[in-house]
Amino acid sequence: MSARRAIAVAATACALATPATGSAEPPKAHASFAFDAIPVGAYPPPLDGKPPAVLRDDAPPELRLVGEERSLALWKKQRFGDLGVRIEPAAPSAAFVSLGSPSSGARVLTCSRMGAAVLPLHWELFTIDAAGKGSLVIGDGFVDARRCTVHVERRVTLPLATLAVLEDTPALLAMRTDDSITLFWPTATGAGAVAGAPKLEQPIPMPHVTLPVHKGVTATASASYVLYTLADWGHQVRGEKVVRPAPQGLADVDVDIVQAVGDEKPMVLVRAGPSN
Amino acid sequence: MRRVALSLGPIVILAAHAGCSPRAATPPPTTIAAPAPAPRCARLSPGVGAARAFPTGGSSPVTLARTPEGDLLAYVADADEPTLRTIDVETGKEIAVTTLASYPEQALVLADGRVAVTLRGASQVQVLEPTAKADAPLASRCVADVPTEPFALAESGDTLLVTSGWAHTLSVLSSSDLAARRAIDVPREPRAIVVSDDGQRAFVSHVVDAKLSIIELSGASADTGKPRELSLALGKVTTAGLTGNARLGCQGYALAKSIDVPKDGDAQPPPPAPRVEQPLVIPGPRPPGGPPSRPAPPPITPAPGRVFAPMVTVDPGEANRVAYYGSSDGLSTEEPQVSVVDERAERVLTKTALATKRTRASVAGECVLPRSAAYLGGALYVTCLGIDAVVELDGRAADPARAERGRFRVPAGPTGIAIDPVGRRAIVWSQFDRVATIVSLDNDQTRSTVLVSRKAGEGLGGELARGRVLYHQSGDARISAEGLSCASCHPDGRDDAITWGTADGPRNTPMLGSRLEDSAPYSWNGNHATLDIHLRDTLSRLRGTGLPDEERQALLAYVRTLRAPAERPQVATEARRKLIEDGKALFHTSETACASCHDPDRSFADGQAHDVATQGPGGKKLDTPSLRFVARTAPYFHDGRYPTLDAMLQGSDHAMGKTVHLSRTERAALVAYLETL
Repeated sequence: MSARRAIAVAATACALATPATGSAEPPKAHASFAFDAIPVGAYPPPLDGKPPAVLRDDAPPELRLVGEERSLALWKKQRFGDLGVRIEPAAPSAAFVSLGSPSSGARVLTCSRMGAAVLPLHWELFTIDAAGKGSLVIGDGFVDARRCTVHVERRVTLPLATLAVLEDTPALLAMRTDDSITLFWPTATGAGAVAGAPKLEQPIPMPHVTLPVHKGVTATASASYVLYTLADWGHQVRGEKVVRPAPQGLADVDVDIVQAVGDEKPMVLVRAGPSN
Repeated sequence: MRRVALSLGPIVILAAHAGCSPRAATPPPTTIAAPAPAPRCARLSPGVGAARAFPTGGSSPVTLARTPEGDLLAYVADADEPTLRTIDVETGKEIAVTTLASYPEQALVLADGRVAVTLRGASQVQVLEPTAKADAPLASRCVADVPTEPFALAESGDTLLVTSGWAHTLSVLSSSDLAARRAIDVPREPRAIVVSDDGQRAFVSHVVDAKLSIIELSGASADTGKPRELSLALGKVTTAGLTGNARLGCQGYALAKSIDVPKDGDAQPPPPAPRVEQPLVIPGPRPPGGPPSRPAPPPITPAPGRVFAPMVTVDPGEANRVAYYGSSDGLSTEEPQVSVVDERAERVLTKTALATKRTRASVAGECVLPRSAAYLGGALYVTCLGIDAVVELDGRAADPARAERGRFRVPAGPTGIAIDPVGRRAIVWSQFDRVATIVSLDNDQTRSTVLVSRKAGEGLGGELARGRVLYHQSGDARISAEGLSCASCHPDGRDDAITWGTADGPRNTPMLGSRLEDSAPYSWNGNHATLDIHLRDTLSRLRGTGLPDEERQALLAYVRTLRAPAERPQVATEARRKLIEDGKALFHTSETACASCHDPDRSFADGQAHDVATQGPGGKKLDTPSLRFVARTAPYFHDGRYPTLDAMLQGSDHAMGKTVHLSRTERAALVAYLETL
């Protein structure tokens, strides 16, 4: 039994929303989450972009630099001529790597002993471990193009709670602070939120929205999925080859974060099911 | 005068009281001189018989009591007979029938075990007392007059609260003698009441206008008597995003309150909330074979202090854009909504605007006629006319209507529900079939149906019964393509206070009750000579496929029985009488010309269509509407442009009568007269 299937079995109590007698459509399945059960985490604030005087060769484990015309190792040994280098994730993941400005999405640089370029590097990688738990690694550093090395200025790993799974793939993940919750919607289309932050932010690898959490505040968010797109994404993150027919149809995932004045903690409610 | 012995622990008091049944009593060991008379409605035998089973916050057609032996009883207010039925929930049998002074609407077991019942048609409240025998009728203690058309009850300390729909009043009565302490004017069509946890405030729902009234019951601000109003209207989302247009609302019949889950009859703190950390997995494992199970109780329950207001949210559409009623942008015209009100903050937690994915066709089969609600441990149970079901909603959600956990079918016309939190079962009263259903909240197959005795000649039968079912039938494509029912726009045979977009322009829903006789022709333009023609046209405009002749006739037969309540004669002051007389005189003068179209001998109409200078693009004249009960049908004019009668008199000069020249006093007189029609 795969780890993901094990989660599915363990979640019987949550997923058993029996189709209603006489209902126009089956009700969506429900789950509720204590706010404290969601791991603490937040996007780190941007850095000032100034490189330190001394740049290390840190080689972050989730990234690798690949020489395009010849081996990077050979180039480092010879330090001869220019080498086109691509920065890519070291393992299957959903990854966003940006060289230069934090949002450029550029992944390719030229390493040259004669050059003088030190370029900022930002990366975000979402991975799923063997137990099915997702985490997001966010790193910031600098590429020293003269040596073709990566200096890590800051690197954080944010464990995410998986709140909903569609087609064996996490469809809603979350992290929180004391007064906010960040929801991640991989591959979602039509995601939106009412109350708090209505704009969905779109940095790859996962669109996310951060909602305020306070006593007396309700926040509601909703997203739609094309199931085969989500499934493809899941295969990519897990490094799997597609071995079964792509799922068809659309699904919705809705989230309420509700805290009445009398509630000690907010409650996170998730509903998921076929789109109506 | 009878002498009544009241046993109060070791002391026995001899009380004298007129008109009360004597109670069995042991000979008094001590006689106390100068007995104080018992309050008119107070308990004669405290502690005897069944007591309140659980605090509920408000009344329903079903209310629960527990016998000293621990058996659960359900008292059912049968609106089709002047009876209160006692059902033994343990055996599923009707064990007693108490004859009431008139036809009941709702009942409530009070903290001391007495049972209060609203008598809607008679505009009274009756208080009864259980006897030592559970299978004996309850003893009547008193009957008191209240403002016209009482619906719901709630208890707060030593007061009994009563809503009166037609009289738009919340009455505060002394629960011991039903003496009126306050009568608070509230907006149109109040229905359900619940009381806040601290007993300081009452929350009142309204059938129309998507609002909740909040009334201070004690403290300094209680004396002002003016309710606060909380809007329950939602915003509207289109594919372009959230628009500024608020949707409207209707069907605010029910309220429920979140309370701690009681154990063994007493309120206890809820169990510690488990941490649920497993993700929601779709598709999940299938349930094993055997009887269908119901969803497990919500594992995490919020703190008490939420008030739930089931209703529908309405998009009436834009005028001149649609050829039928309702939304013109592809969204659903009516959709279930449950507003969640944070009791302490007096703020609506429900902010969910309608998602773009909700389409017109997708609401068929939804609960668009909610009538009663009850809460247990994070789950909200709402009875729904039209689909004859109880829907179980997630009461923790921002809009529980969008978080349905399941539903179970019940016989036709479920108007009342009570929840037994200890036995985890619901007792549902289905008024149309006059059947009670006792159903497990954990297993839909564990249910019993209680058939009640029926008195010959009482209740609706045959065609009228069929007509009533049809009137409330939602999700029937023959009536409406969107699943609406007659009762959607004409709740209780009245109007929804909504101005709908139509191909002819905006049109304000008219009241039906007591206005159909002598008021032909029908429709806003008066182009339907008979009700049958008008009904067929209405179903067509609702994009229904139409009803066969037999069912149309049954529906019309029922509609013709709809009546406005018999107004309780009001004691007017001399000044008020004079004002009304002055207004009547103004109404009948040629100077205002009111009576030239609104003929008192023809139900204040004339059967003619007139140009009121605002007709729609087709240039059609408008049929003179009846003015009967006009004070109860705001807003005014065919397009609902005037919120009050006074605004109409000021705004419609020479388009409809001549009233702009009237002084403020004269307008007040004319309004006073109109309020008597």
